[in-house]
Amino acid sequence: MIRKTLRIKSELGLHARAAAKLVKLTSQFESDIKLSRLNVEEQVDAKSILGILLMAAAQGTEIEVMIDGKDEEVAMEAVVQLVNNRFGEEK
Amino acid sequence: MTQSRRDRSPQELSGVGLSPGVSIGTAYEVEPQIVALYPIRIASDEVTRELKRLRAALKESRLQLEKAREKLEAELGKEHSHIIDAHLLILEDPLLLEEIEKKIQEELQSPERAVREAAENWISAYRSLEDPFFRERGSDVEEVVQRLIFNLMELDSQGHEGLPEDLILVVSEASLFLLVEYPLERVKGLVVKRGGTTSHGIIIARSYQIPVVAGIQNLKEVIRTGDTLIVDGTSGMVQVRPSEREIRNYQARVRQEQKIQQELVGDTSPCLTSDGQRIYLYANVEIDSEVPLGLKLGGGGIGLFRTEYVYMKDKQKPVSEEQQFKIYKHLATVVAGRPAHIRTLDFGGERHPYFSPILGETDTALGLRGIRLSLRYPDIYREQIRAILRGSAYGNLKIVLPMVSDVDEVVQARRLIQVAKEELLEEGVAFNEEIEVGIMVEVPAAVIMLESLCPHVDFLAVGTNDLIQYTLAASRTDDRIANLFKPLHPAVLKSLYRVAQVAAAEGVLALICGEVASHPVYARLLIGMGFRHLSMSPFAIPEVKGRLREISCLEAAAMVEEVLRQATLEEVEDYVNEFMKKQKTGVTS
Repeated sequence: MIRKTLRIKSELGLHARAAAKLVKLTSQFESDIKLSRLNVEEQVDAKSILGILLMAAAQGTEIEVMIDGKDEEVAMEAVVQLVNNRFGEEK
Repeated sequence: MTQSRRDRSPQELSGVGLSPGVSIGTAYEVEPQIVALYPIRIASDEVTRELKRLRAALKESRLQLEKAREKLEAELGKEHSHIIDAHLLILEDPLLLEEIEKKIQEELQSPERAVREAAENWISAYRSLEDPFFRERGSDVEEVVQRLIFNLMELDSQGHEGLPEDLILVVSEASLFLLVEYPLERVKGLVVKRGGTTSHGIIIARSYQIPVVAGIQNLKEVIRTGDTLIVDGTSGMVQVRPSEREIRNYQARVRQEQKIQQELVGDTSPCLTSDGQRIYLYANVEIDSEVPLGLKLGGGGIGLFRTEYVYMKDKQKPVSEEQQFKIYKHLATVVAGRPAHIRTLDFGGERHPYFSPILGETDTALGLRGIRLSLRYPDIYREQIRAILRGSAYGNLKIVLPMVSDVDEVVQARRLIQVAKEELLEEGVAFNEEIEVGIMVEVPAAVIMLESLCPHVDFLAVGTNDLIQYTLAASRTDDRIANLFKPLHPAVLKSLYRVAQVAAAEGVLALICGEVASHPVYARLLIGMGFRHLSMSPFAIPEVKGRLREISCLEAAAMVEEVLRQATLEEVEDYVNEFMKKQKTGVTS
């Protein structure tokens, strides 16, 4: 299992449009992908838009990404890129 | 409640007209009553069959959403389609699905019940969130779940094939979806439960000229699918199951209005009352694309150009001076010599991720809005003022300061405008040095202090919607007190009368900007009070123009005198109804 801490930089936070992009991405991987707010025990499934939105991660929130499975390396790279790219929204 | 649903006698419901015009059609409840119509439990040998039914309903829901996305993108562009993306993902959410299946397999719940219960957990989890932005996602879950349950019950299985030609949609909220899911050419009207909003659905209804009446709390108790409805978006009335006679009356009115519309759309001649007084008609516009139509219909110019939508163009941050300048320059060029009154930023209920946190969540109506916000954030204000000033080099732009309650606010705003002018002079940028600056009269304090305000302003723009709301301390958006929001209340009439009197005495032009100007009785009262400049929704202009030509200012003034003697709302309404009845018989006989 690998984990990484990321900061949500997009101005609207991890809102519906961003969450939709994230789910579309994570669903392509076989690995189990979980998210949690940093230092918060509760985890959400990164393949569930309902779970992601319920984190209510506004701009500046730090989230932890935990990936476990065969393609965990590639999956992590893809997730990190999407989040750090501010979900491809800001020009 | 069952009593009133069984009572099939004609009824009249009163709400708020949000998109003018009259239409007759057949009611269609978009969210029919489905409570407890489905079975709760299933037998153990039915599990396989019921899971199959669930999958069929999921597939059907997905197809509907994909179809809606296509239509939405074709009609409004890609900007809005991400809402549907989110709905699709909620529909297919693995966690939700797992819970639903578990409830069917292990607890032997019917799929309908399982979907409702599984969703309820999520919805209540969302409701408990603190961040309002995320809290609102609970309503997305609700919308998806309703769709799924409808499809499970095959309520929608015939699609919209069997829908009548003249459809009047009955809904609790005018969402964007509504108008992409139904064939717009068949939608003749909209009856909405929630009170006055500037939702996407309403804006689209306006641009398609579909009459809308909102703020009818008990619509689900009174209206049923199949009922004949007459929707009058001009007066805000809905006739439910009207009698033959009422239908004939309205059909005649619709024909007459169509005739008036046709005759007057191309009519650019001035509007004179029957005793020869000139009335100047202007258009209120929400978005820049409405400007050409507004100008065509209302010869006077643009009475109110709201800039909230200018700011909505960029959801992340305040729009830049350059972006705004382009819009105002275009506006100035299009209006040519006619005036365009630009109201500086005034967010009320609209949600903007940048401004909403500043405005605060509670009491937006009484909070940091309008000129208060602008004076507190002079940098944002400066960009807007500079953009308007630069635009004024190309045409007759005027600046309107919203939510003014104190002379000092006007003095401060004018000082900031002066500073911006001096900057532009130094930079050698062209602008109209004589640009007029006026205020919105919409806070009762401004009405009371009007004599002191007048020397500081070039004109007055009366915002009737807010003036009514603030005078009566009755919110327009709270369903429970929608019946208190009454334009004919004597307190409102006296305030308006005072504005007309003071404006005349001080020699300041007063322009009425608000929905009431488009109401036939109200237009008469305003003329009687002495107002000569009325601004309203573009589509209402031809009709009002036709009516004003039949009014004599002298008669209207006499009516006002009589109305101002009444002490209660009821007395005013009785007097006005009686007057209009006499007027009608007088005309036809």
